[in-house]
Amino acid sequence: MPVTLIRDTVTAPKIKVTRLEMKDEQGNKQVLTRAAAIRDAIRVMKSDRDGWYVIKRNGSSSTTQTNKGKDRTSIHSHQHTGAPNPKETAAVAEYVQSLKDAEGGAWSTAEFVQRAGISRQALQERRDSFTIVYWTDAKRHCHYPKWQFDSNLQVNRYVRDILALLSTHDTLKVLTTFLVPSIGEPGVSALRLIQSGQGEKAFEYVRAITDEH
Amino acid sequence: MSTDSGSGKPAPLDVEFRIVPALKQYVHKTKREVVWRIHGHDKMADKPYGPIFFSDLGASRWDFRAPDPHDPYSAGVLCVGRIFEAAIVETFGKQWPSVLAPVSGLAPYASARVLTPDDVDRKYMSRITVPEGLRLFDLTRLGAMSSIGHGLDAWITATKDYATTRTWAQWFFRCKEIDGLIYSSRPGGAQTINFVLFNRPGVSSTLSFSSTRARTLRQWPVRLAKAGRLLNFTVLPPLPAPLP
Repeated sequence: MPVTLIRDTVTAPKIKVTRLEMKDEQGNKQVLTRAAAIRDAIRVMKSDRDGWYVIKRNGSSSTTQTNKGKDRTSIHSHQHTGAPNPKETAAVAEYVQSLKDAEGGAWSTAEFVQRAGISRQALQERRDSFTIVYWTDAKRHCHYPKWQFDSNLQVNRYVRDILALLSTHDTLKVLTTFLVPSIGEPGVSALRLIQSGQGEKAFEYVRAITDEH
Repeated sequence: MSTDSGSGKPAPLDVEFRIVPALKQYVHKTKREVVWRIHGHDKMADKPYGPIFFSDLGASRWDFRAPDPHDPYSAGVLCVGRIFEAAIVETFGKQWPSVLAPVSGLAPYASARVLTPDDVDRKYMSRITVPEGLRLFDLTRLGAMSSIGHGLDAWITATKDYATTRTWAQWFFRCKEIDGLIYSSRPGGAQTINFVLFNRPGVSSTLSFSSTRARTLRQWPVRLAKAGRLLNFTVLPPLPAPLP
């Protein structure tokens, strides 16, 4: 694999990088704007001798000059500059949709607010405090999987305990933790354990994974 | 040696494991080597855990809980991969579905391997240098497990029944003639070789790692992409943040 480390573009004294745009293999973009994060990313790129990166600045098609005169710089992993594979993209979309549709699907915020008789503000607080499972759609609207609730629309106790262990806004991490049949053999999901009265076992499994140092 | 057979048996903790002459051929002496380890994020301190940590948390295949909490050397194992992919399999293999191929009628999430944004942004991959001369019992060698007997077979490296595999870890750990094990994670194939290093005074003090800042898995983009192809997993893009 060719190794090219481009230094001058980012270390030349007159160039101040204020924004880094990075793309991964799927074409997902990550934008860094904090100086420390930019510095770290550049350091990592320079030290990764297995990869090579192209840093595009003024004059290249993906670079613009902001009206404050600051450079906007795009860094692409060279291996990843091709368009995302449509087949892979479709498979990922199908995978994520299957998580969203699992076990009866989900209620929208409007539906849940109406059913549970709570305010949107209270719902947001629950999301922020990791006490309710949710996911977002492309328009950034929230949805609440039905499988987490009991008949009184209360979040199941073990679901709440596991959410507290995870303490993350990575909603895909939360959904996969509950739904993927990865516990034991032939493989059962944490949700299935909870539904079959073995919530403690599900909790212990997730605790073990999150405990790992 | 026992001639018992069958998978899934716990280790015979009432029997001492010794490196008898017939087993000496399976003890591998390490050369100085760089290996890979994935370590987590300390949420309380909001920083990575250190790459070298001998675990007795009871969290994975080999880290049995310390039988004597007052003896710092009564337990503790450090699992490392000889290649990048081996460390990936050992860390994430247990959260992948047990069915490893698409099956008609199963939802995609029930049969596909993925890493989520947290997995690649909140897990770190570091390189650790293993010194020369550690004695590792090589379970990957033909005949090694059957020579031990007591029903030990490759099941131990593939199963998710960690309560049982940890009894074997404890059984091996008690043998002071070895410093660890070599095994291959079956979900990753024969190439995904891992070391299990035991917490001994002569082991933990000889390991070293680069002191530069830890890199998340996402910060190894080329290796991660290659591992994805080899192990057939996908890194999921994050879902958008909720509207305020």
